[in-house]
Amino acid sequence: MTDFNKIQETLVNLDAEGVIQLVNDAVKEGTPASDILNKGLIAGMDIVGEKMENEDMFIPEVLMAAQTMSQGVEILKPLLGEDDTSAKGSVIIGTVKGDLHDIGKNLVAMMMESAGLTVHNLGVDIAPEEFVKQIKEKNANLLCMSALLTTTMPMMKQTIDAVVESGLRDQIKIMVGGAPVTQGFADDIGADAMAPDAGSAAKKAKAIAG
Amino acid sequence: MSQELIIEQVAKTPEKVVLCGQDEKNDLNLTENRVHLGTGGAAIKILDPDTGEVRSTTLKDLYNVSRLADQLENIHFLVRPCIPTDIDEKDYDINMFYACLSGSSKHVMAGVNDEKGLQNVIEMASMIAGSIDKLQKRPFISVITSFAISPLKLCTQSTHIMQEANRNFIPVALSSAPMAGSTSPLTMAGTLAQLHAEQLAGITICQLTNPGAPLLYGGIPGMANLKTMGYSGGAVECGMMNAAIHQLSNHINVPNYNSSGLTDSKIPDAQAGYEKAFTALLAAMGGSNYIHHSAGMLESMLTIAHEQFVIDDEIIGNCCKVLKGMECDAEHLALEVIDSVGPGGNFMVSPPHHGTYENRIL
Repeated sequence: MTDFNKIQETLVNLDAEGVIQLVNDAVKEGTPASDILNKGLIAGMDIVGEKMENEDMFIPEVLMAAQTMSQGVEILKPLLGEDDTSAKGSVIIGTVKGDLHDIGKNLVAMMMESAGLTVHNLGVDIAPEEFVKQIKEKNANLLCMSALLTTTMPMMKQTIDAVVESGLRDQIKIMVGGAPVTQGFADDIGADAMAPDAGSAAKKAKAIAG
Repeated sequence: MSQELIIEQVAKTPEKVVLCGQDEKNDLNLTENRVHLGTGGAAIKILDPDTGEVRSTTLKDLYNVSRLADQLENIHFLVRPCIPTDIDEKDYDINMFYACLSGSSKHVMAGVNDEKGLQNVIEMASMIAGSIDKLQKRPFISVITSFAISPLKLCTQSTHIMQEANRNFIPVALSSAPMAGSTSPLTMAGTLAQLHAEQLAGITICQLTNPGAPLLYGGIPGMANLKTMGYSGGAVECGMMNAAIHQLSNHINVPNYNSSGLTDSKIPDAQAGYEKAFTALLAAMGGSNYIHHSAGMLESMLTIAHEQFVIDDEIIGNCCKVLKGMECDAEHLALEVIDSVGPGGNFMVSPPHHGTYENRIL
């Protein structure tokens, strides 16, 4: 019988080797890969996300946990069925046109992946029409935009306008974030959600698109 | 870039840069260990002087704080402290310089959005000076170019702006601002090593563009708050690293620009006082030639407040007092005075207090 708590705890303690060992052991014991993923690794990352939100964990530590988690996922991937991996939401994420900042946005993408979402990270300087094109191609149900500069924040509104114009607004949720972005701004431009940090971004994404 | 190329180009950089004010009394001679401190930043919020509430900054705010900084005697120069969020972005460059130049006769430095914006600013400043030649002779404006995207990458647009300034012989501050823990190593020494490499690359580009172009080594080492990855300008490590910047620039005989006197507090409080005093004094004692961000800012670089400019003027004054040191000649040792007052007396009306207290010799 696999001790999922032990996997979670080992992940939270940033013991990469320990996590790999426990995942391999669980596979050998015959525990279903989807259980190891959901009840072990993803549940562990939920704790990490919460600790991050409460400022009980440093961000570099969160990144280390996410890296460990994806090593674990690599072991499980060949064993996971189609249903296990595509059940949760499909997310498009990128930094808006004119803005080249991506450290925070990449952290959000990593936390969302760790939460079990399928994430398409488009990169930086993404034009509104490119976001629209990607939503169609990837059949996404959550669009996430980031901006660090006050001068590029208006591009979020322009992107939302482009989504509305394309007729896709009803089938997709939109979340915004970045240092200067506030809930008030998100409301003004017609976004569905705003997240102040990567931990809560992943949590909210799961709630509205998972 | 080969080592040979860098050594050859860096050697062409002027050792002496004089940044002028519109009024000559505000000229700044940036050589050796001469220290100057002033405003800085591109804040987007202000504590409203009437209500005390935080709100977005306007063009009028920029003009008002320029006038304020002009009157505060310890603030040596004006780096544009806030962004006029009430006007269109394409109008930023010329309006920001105009607001600063019309509000203050001290040296004005700011970043610009693009080459066209810089050309407009140079044209306007030439009109004020009388001609481009006169402006080049007495540059009362200079440009901050954030040419480096740390770690070790060039920003195309800012590099073009930097080169346009070089071609016009307008002084540039080569800003590279790695944050220890996110865009540079967590260690102070590692952050400084990376920053120095970025500076050498920038200086080489400037001197290849126009040999002898005036510039400031622009080291802005910062710290990431590892819980949020936000900027932690009030950390004492920022003061320490910025103090080291002058040593690095001095090593290659180029005057420096750096940053100190920030706080992470959102209001003028005890935290703001000690973080600013600590970091400003460290950079000043390091011999930094042009320390910006030293007046008026809160919440690292996001917010300004009128009262904070006044408080920081006092902190800068104290930094300068420390740098002057203590006179130790016969008059200042005052042994005769001690002797004349004798045991049990007092010194309230004895020399060297003759004359007014305003002019007293400490």
